[in-house]
Formats: sequence, C-alpha cells, structure tokens
Amino acid sequence: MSNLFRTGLSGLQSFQRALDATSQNIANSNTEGYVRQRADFTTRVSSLVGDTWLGTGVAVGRVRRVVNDFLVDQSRTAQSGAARLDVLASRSARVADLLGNSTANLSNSLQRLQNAVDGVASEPASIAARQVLLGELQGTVSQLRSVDGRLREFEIENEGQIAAEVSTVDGLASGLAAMNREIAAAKATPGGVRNELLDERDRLLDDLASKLSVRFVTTESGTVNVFAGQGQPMVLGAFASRIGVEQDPTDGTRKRVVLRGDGPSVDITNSLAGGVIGGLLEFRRQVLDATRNEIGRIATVLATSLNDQHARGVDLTGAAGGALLAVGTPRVVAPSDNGGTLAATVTLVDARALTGADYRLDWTGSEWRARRLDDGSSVATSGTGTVADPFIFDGMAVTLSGAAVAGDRLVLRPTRETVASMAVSVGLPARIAAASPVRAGAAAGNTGGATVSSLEVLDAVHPALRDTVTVAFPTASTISIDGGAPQVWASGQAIDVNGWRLRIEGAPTAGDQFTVSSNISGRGDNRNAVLLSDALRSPLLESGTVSLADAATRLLSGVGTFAQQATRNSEVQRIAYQESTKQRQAISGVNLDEEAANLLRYQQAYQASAQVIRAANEVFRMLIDIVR
Amino acid sequence: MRISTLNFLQGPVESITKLQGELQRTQAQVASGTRLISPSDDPAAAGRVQELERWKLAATQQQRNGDLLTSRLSLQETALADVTDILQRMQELAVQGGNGALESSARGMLAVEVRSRAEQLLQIANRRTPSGGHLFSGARIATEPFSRQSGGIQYQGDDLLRMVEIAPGQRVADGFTGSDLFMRVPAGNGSFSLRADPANAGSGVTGAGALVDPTAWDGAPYRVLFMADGTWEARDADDALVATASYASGAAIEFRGIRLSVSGTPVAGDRFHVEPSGSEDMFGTLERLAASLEAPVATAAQRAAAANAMNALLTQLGQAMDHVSDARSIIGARLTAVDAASASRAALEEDISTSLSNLRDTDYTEALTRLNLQLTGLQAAQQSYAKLARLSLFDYL
Repeated sequence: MSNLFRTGLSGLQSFQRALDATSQNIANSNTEGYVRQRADFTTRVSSLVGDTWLGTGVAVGRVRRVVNDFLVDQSRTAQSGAARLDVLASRSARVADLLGNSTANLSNSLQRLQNAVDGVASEPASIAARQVLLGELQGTVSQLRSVDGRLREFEIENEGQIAAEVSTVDGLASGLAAMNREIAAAKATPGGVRNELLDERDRLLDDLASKLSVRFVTTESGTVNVFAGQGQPMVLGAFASRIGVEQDPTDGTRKRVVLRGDGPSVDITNSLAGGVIGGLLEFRRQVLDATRNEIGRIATVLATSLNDQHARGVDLTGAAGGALLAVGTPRVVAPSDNGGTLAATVTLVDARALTGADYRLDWTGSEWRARRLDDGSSVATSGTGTVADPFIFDGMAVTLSGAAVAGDRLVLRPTRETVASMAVSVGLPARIAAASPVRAGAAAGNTGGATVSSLEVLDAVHPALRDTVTVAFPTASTISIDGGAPQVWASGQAIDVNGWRLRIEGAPTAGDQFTVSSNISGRGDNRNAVLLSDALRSPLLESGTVSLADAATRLLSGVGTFAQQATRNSEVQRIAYQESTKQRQAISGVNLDEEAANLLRYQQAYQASAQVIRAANEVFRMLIDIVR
Repeated sequence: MRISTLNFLQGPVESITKLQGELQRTQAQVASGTRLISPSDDPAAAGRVQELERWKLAATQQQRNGDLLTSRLSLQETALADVTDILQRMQELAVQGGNGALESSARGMLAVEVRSRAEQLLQIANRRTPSGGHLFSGARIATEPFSRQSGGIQYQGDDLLRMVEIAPGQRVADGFTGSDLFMRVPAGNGSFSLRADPANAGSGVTGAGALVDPTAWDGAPYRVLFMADGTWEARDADDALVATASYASGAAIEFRGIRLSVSGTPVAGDRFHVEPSGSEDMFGTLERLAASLEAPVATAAQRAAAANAMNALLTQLGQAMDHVSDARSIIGARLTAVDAASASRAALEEDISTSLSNLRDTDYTEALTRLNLQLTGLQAAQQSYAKLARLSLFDYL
C-alpha cells in the first residue's frame, strides 16, 4: 500500500519539476543565449516485495541543458567570418564612395588639369588661361589632399575602434576566466554547475567570437581555454592574459595588439584574424594603407614629372620655370625598439619606378635584406647603402647611417605621407613656364630646303643653354657649329650642344645657316606647355603602361571590386551564420508550442499521479472500513 | 525538424528587413535616376564611367582649341586674301610697266601706286589678332614683326609655330610665321633667276627661263656673255667655258639643263647672270618694282633694262602669288582638319553619351517593374508574418 503512495508521490514530484522546467523555458523564450532545459525522467529502483520486484515510481535525474557543442562551434566560426566581412564590406564601400564621388573625383581633377595645360598650350600668352591652370593645379592638389585627409580620418576612426574592441575582448577574457573559476568550484558541489552559469559563459564566448576568431578547448574540469591568433593563450582556466593595444614602434599613428602574460608582451597584430577586430586590421592593411600609398604615388609622380618638365621651360618674364608642385618626400622610420643607432635617408631617384608598396630593410648581422610589406616578396637592391653607393631599388636611393645590431630594421613608406604637405608652388600666372628657353631659326638668306624639325631641352641647368649658337652648312652634308671644324651631317641627325638637341631635316645648300638662341620675348611660344601636356598624359606608372588618370580610375575599380567582393562574401557568410544559428536554435531554442504541449502533458501526468494517490487513499480507507 | 519560436518569428523579420533594404535601393535608383548608387555596386562600370567622363572633358577642351584654331587660321586666311589682291594688282601694274610705249611720267604714276600698295602690304603683315598679339610674328606675339629699316623691311618675329591639339594625338600648327610668308618667297623661276647686267648697252631682253633637265642642272651660278662675233658663251664662276653657240634673237640658249632665250640686239660685252634661286622678301620685290618703274626709259638700253626688270618682276610676283596660294591651301586643309575632327568628335560624343547613359542611368521600365515586384514581395511577407505571429497553441488551452 505504502508503495502505491510512494509511486504516486514520485510522479507528483517529478512532473512538478518537469512543469518547473517547462515554465522556465516559457519564461525565457525571449532571453538571448538561453538554452532550453529538459527534465530527464528515470525509473526508480524497484523494491523486492515477497518474491517479486515492484516498481517504485519515477525520478527526475536532473534538469539538463539541451545543447549540441558541434553546432555551437560552427555558429561561432560563421559569426567570426560574418563580423569580419561586414566590417570589410561597409568600410571599403566608404572608401570606394570617396574615390568614386560622381562630381569630385581624382580622375576628373586630373583631366581638368590636363585641359587647363592644353588651354595654356593653345593660348600661351593668355593670362586667363594661365589663371585657369593655376586654379586646376590647386583643384587637383585639394582633391588629392581631401581624399588623403578623409582616408586619414578613416584611419583614426579605425584605430579608435580597434582599441575599443580590443579592450572589450580584454574584458570578455577576464570575464571568462572568472566564469571558469566559478564553474570549477561549482563542479564539486552536490547540485553541480548552475545552468544559467553555462548559458552566461556561452554568451561570453559568442561575444568573443564576434570580436575575433579564437579557438576554444573544453577541459575535463569543465573550464574552457581560449587561444587567439596562432595559438597564443588568452584564457587558461581561471587565468586570463591581458590583451591590449600599444604604440606601434614603426608608426606613430598606429596601434598594435599585444598579449601581456607573465613574460614580455607579444605582438599578435598580424596573427589576428576574423571577427570585427580581424576585419578592422584587414581593412587597415588591404584597403587603407594600399589606397593611401597609391594616392601618394599618384601625387608624387604627378609632381615630379610636372616639375621636371616645367623646369625645362621659361615663363613670361623669361625666367626658368621652377617647381609647379611641392610634394612630401619618402618616409623612413627606424623603429624605437631597434638595438642600434641605425638611421637612414631616402631620396627619390625615379618616381616612375615607385610601386606603392611599403618596404622593410632588415639587418641579419651579416647582410641587408629588403622586402615589400604588402606581399612579403623580397626585393633585389643594388649598392651598399653608403653615401657614395646607396641602396637603389624601386625608384629610391637609401643611405644608411649609424650602427645596426642584428635584428634591427628600417621601415620605408615611400608614398603614404607625401600628400599631406602637397601644395602649388607657383603663385603668379606669368610664372608658368609655357615657353622653351631656346629657339631655332633659319637665316634669312638660306637657299636650301632644310628646316628645323625639333629643338628640345636636355639639360635645363646647362650654364650655356641660352647662348647663341650658329649651325652653318659649309657644304650640304657637313655642319659647323659656331665656326668650328665641319662635321658630317645627315638629315634628321641629332645635334647636341649646350644642353639642347636640334634636328634639321631636308636638303640644305652650302652656306645655309641656322641659329639657336635664347627665346627672348617668346610670349606666344607654347612648346613647353605642349610637353607638359604630353608629360601629364603619358603612361608614367607601372613601367610606362598606366597614366595618372588611369591609375586613379584603376584605384577606384580596385577598391570598388574589393568592396563588392567583401559585400558578396559577407552576404554568403551571413546566410551561413543565420543557417548555423538556426540549427543551433533548432536544438537549443524554446518552441512555445512544444512547451504548451509539454505543459498539457505534464499537467495531465500530474493529475494522473494525484489520482493514483487518491486511489491508494480509497483502497486504504476501504481496508479500514472492513476492520471497523 | 524542430524550430525555435524565436527563430520562427525572427526569420521572417530578417527577410522583411532585407526586402526593405532592396526596396530602398531601388527607390534611390528611381529617385536619383542613377543606377550606380555606390561604385562598389558595379566597380567595372564605375571605372568605365570615369574613363568616358574624362573623354568628354577632354573633348570640351579640344573643341575649344578647335574653335580658337579656326578663328586664328581664318584671320590669317583673310590677311592672305588681301595679300593676294595686292599681288594681283602688282602684276597688272608690272604688265602695264612692261609696255615699251609708256612714257616715264606714266610709269612714275604706276610707281606711286606700287609704293602705296607696298605700305598696305606692310600693314597687313603687321596685323594684330583681336586678343592683341601680332598675327605674323611667330611666338614673339608682342613684337611688331615687320619694320622699315635701312636695308629694307626687316623681320623681328621668330620661326616658332604653335601646335594646338584638336583631337587626341592630332596637333595642328595655328598658322604661318611672317618669315615664312613674306620673307622667304622663292626667287626667280624656283630653280634659278635671270638678271641682266646693269651695264648692258644693247637691247637684249630675256624672260624667266626654264629648267629642262633637272639632272644636268647643278645649281651653280653662270653668266651668258655676248661676243663681238655674234655668238654667246656660257661661263661658270671660274670663268670656264660651259657652252657656246651663235646668237639669234628669240632662239633658245641651252646649257647645264636650263633653257633661256634673249630677244633683241645685245651688243658685245652684254651679259646675263644665271643665279640659283634663293629667296626674296615680298617687300623687296615691291620695292624693286617701284624702283624699276621710276627708272628713266630714254635710251634703247634703258628700255631693254626696264623690259628685263619687268620680266623678272612678273616672274617674281608669280612666285609670290604661288607662295601665298600654297599657304592659303595649307590653311584651308588645316581648317578642314579642324572641321573633320569636330565632326568625328560630335559623332563619338553621341556614342559616348549613350554608353554613359547605359552604364550609369536608371532603366526606368526595369527599375519600376522591380520596384513593384519588391513592393508586392514585401507586402506578402508582412501579411504572412502577421498571420504567422498570431499562431500559438496557447490560444487553444
């Protein structure tokens, strides 16, 4: 009889627990990170009554979290990927928008500059045309500077966010360590670990996965160890390494991510991937740096090639043309953590050979090694790094000074910081050198058919450049320069004197004369403007295959394609993340209809158990009545 | 498969958000008329748009250059037409001056007109452009190119031409320099010129002469001497005999690939100089014409000298006419080139505008159809969500 009571009672108690679990599920159906709980029923041990085993009812083993660790891992991986691509897509789209602004973009500015130069070429004496050119020079410089300035703002914002996210990660790591400690302690208590503690830890791990790609290992004791990057431990049991940012020794504007454990802090910047932080670092490396370098390269090549040609001309006052544009110089940094006193200066040798990459020079103790930082490839250098014989590579000359110890390095940023200090150097329209410093003319008495086909300036600073030189033809096939000894001459042959090159074509007759002289009052001369226009238009980059305007467009297409790819991948990755979340939720999420059914089921079972007790009670009373 | 309530309700919300995003994009495309909202939508198209816009910008400058070139070339063309008129009048005067019956006083009248026309020619050569520069001074546009000095008219400009771009890779010179046009007119018949010696006493008159065998002509100076025995002798600069024959009035005298003829009666010792063509300036020609007309024509020898001079001057004026008309035809060709460039630019511009529009502009039919589809989709999603969200077993408990 007592058996009947006990069995009924066990049912009542068990179903009440099950109803508790159900109501907990219903109550938390909208709690983020909540894992549904289920009461597991087990049959109680039978007792031997006489010669038979009789059941003693039901027991609830424990209220268990329904979770699939594999699906959880999968969703966290997908989450890291989606967060990374989201950041990459949205940020690089902003850069593409900046470069591809439909009214103010670099391609447009460069073409307007080209038009203005052509305008001066067609009206060299017009002050208005020259004024337009000055305006367009200023416009192009402003455009370059504004793009660079916006990119720097993006960079500052990016650095700020990296620091903030890293500090969040640091908080999450110490939170996890604390959680680990609590879980390990609870493990030893009779009730075991509270479910909400595990839910909370999962939430922390989810948050961590959205910030950066990490690896989790669950130990025997129920704690979770977390490793970042290439296996650097972030959380080991109850201990968390401090993760933080510090100044990058090679760049005053940059932060690097370091892990501070017991020993010295370890730079893990380059081994971090995935998550928001991975995305931010990747955006900095692949988009910001590359774009700023390219903008800087366009600025440097624009300024050097225009200045070079401008210096070969003379302005309306007859003075030699100076620089048109001022531009910053390549930057070289000796990191503050170098052991030696190594320093260096970098000068531009050939702007056209610039690549847009950053470089690193490493002293191994026995030799110098140069490599590009964008793709890590090594670069062949010539020279020894001394003043007399500098390292020459990719358009730069590097002269070393100070003493290096093995492991010391230099970081070269040839173009990134050149735009900020860019400016127009010419202030007055008349100072634009549209004319050539020398002119060639045929003597009035020439009887032959020879004409001057070209006269170009090879050496703008030759001291005798503008001296008057007579090229006479003592015979039809010889020339005499300033009455000197006759030299053999053929039509079209280059005649190089005093830094200029003259070509005469046709058939001269003996006694003909040509004179090269200083171009005095040649206000209508446009030869240097034509050459400036050619210089601007010519393919200056990538070993003479890409013009400046093409480079600007290519930059836009490049960043645009990167953003487009990132957006597409991010959509794919988000779907993958949603899918895996759905699967995870399918296991662990609360379904209210299911809970409603469970509620009914357990309620009915509870009622039935109560009926068992009532039946037992009635049976017992009947027995009593017989006796009475 | 099991599904959590949160997912069941969250899933459709995500779809609705996504649809709203697409709808907003389509709406922006319709509202702005631009298909490319952001370069990352279609980077290839964005890059192409930049290239085409550069082309259009460059075309505006080339059009401007073409217009400028047309106006400058037209100015020169007008000036050269005026020069042609003057030269034609000079030819008429030279023909009149060649009339042997004309008295000195009548010739003097002609000379007066020649001098006034010469002054007019100088003014044309010193013409200015509307922007204030000189038309024929090369690059020295601020310098007056021609001025009268002791040795005649001198050129102070230079030989520089401006090349102006009228189409990608096509540059055209914006005119001729004064030295080219006025100072370098080929002298004589283009190969050589004939000059009667001033000391000639006979009445021998020569014409322009002609080159008959270019391979035999060496371009060296010669002189034709008339001898007492009625023969002529051609001698070179070293006084070596080149050819000789007996003289008949009007008969051809040929040597070294050239032919000339002398008519009249030269006396012994008269001579004609054959000189390789150099060049002569137009002002000098006119000056010579005036001087010849002013020379007295009292004696037979003077008349012969005047006839010789008029013959030579007619040849020279003919050269000047040819020279100017060559230049005018070159200017005409350049104007044609500018027009051709402008026409092909207009055609290309239309193509490029079409391409740009295809790349950049919203196709309204397509966009509005899409907008409607997306609206329908969104409405359906919202309605179905509203129905789904109401479903709960608890309602039946």
